[in-house]
Amino acid sequence: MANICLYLHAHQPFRLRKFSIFEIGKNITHANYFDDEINNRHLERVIFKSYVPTIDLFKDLIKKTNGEFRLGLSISGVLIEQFEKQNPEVIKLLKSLIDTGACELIGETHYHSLASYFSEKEFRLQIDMHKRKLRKVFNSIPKTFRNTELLYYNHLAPIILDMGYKGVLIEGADKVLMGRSPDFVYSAKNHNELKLLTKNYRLSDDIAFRFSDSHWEEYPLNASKFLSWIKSSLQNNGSDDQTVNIFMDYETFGEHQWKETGIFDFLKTFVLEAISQGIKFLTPGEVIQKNKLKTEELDIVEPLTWADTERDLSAWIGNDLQKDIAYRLYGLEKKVIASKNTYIINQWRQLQTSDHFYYVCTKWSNDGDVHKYFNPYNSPYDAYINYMNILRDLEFKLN
Amino acid sequence: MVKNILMIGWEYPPFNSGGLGVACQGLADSISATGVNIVFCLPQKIDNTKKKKGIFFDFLDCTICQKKNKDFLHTYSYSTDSSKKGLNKHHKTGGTLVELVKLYANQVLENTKNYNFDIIHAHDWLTVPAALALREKSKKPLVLHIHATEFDRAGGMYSLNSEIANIEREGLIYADKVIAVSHYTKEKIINLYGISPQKIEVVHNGIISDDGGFFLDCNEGFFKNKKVVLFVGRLTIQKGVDWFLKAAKEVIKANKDTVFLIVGDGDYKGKAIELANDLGISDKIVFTGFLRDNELKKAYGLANVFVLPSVSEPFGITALEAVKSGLPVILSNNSGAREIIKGSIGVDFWNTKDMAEKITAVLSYPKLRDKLIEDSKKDLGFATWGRAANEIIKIYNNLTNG
Repeated sequence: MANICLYLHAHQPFRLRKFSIFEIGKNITHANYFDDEINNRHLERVIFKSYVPTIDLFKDLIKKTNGEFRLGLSISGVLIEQFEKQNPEVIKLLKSLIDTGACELIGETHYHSLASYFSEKEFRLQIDMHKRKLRKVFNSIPKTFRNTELLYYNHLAPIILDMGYKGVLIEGADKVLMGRSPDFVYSAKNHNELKLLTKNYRLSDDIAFRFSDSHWEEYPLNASKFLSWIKSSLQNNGSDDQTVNIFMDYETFGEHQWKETGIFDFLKTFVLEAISQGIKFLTPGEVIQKNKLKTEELDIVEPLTWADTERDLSAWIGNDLQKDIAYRLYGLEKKVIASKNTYIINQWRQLQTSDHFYYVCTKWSNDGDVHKYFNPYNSPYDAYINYMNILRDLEFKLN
Repeated sequence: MVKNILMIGWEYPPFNSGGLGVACQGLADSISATGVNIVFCLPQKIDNTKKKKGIFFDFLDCTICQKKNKDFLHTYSYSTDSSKKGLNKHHKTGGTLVELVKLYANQVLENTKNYNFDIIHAHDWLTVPAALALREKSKKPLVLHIHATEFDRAGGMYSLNSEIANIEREGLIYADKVIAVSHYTKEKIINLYGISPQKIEVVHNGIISDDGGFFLDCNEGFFKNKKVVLFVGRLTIQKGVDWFLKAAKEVIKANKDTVFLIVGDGDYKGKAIELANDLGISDKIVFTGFLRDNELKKAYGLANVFVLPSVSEPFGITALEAVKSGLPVILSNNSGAREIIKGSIGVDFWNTKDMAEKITAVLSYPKLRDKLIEDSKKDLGFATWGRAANEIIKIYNNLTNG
């Protein structure tokens, strides 16, 4: 038979408040760039609709299957901070899930940033921050890594290895697999000791994006249909070294796909049916452990991500407006660090959260719909203006 | 296949007060270019009309207004004080607008006896009595093209003229098909008049494309080294010039080198000048009056950003002109143009602080300006009269095929 590796990613940005262009440089000592009220309200909603009911379901499934159901989970540092501040009960619940031993915590950058593309120093520092946070809050030391938006390319392999990780979760894009199956374990170019787990995007997106789409020809999706797809994805009817990697946003359960769509029932039935048919669930770390020997290399020269049809960085730094704010922000690194002002340094890092760049994306067609769903601004131009106003204010403070 | 169309209009360039005439010309030219013959009825003789193959103009002579009087169109078509519009006698022509519209109906009925046509295509409420009478008599299907509703002209529910609204309603009810110039307008027709959505097709306007550019380079005199914010439109309540001036005050407060160019005429002009005075910004506001052709192009050429602050704008052809001139545009969220110009910044007309911020941002952030220009230029590809004509011919054919 074969294995399933279910991995979920939980994250909420600190959304920016409306910052007027006429406000730039007016409040030198203290200006909060973030909309605490909106962030709190949003967080409470997602906690209620998604985070808590999903934890409950997972714990229930782990108990029912005597720990046979297992999964991987990443929680961005900025989300952990929001839980701590706003609703520490969720931290307790998460802890009880981690304590079952069936849920592996995955490491990432604390600020959910694209620092790996702009500054190695920042990248390392933010990985370290996240690691320390996981240890402090959950008493857990991560061994598997996921970069923001699953961003990965050859260049990052030695850095990630050096930071103490044995494997990375990446997008199983056609352009890097080139006809090979995403259900095997691969390794980094010239670094066999760093394993790459490739997301099976067809099967993952069937749940994450298409589950409740009534125009989809496979609608409605049920557990047995999905299991039959998993089986047909495998080669030679499956073998123990094959693992179907189902990676998606945690918020798929209950927020992107509402409870009313039947997503929770689907998840439950799917897990129980899979186990009863002899399919094993493994955490990302366990998959890596099983495939320590030599594996085929993936040569990934250009930045690869899990977004849009391009599977590159174009959703965040694709247009001139996005490039403008990104390079401007990272261009401030030296000045910000030299200021030794922890308040400013923290604000600068919170501005690195990838969501801020995503809001400025101008792809209208196809993937544009997905973008719209996640965007609190009326248009990418509005998002750019607000971000620029804040950036200009930050520059003002630094000078 | 439909061969002959009888169009009923009210104004036509160069004798127009605004977008209605421009749209009628764009439509007539491009529909006739597909080989369909058009007889275009207008209430009075218009000289210098560009002659196009396939369009025959029938200038009727409304006897109340005996003179070829430019004022006739201006004052009659669009009066700000909508509540009195249909009731007061006009001092020059001696009839109210509603009387005139009814007189026009008789004239159309009388003069079109000998024409052979498959479909009647009428533009706006001014032609409704004529169109309904002709439909009744000829038993031909009627397409009513709505360029603006009474709600738009009056700038809200409370000042609309019920006599005009009733004529408009009657036209919408009896028309066999309604064309709206935007989804925004379609929604208005559904919500205000209770017309079935299935009866209404949206056909967005275009922009005259055979005219090389809309831009005349011009940076001289007073405007040298200044940032110029441009408004083009009739000076009426509907066009939101008062909100624009309030935003101007905020912009000027932060940047003294900004000037506001207001192109257009209308009965709100006096009040607008007064308001600029009261706000203490009259030295930064330039009122040019109504401009056309090269003068208008110069205005576009002078500007750094174009703003359409309308309270309610069914379409807004000036927004397309601005894009064509290579300007970044800020458009009222209550406008049809925003549906097709995605490369634009939206604004609520009443939120003058936000309008001021957006104007200032476009003037301050060059990357933003460049991106808006780049994106909106792409949207212009959709905004051709040829595309509009094809959509309308499809509607004609569906009507006659049953």
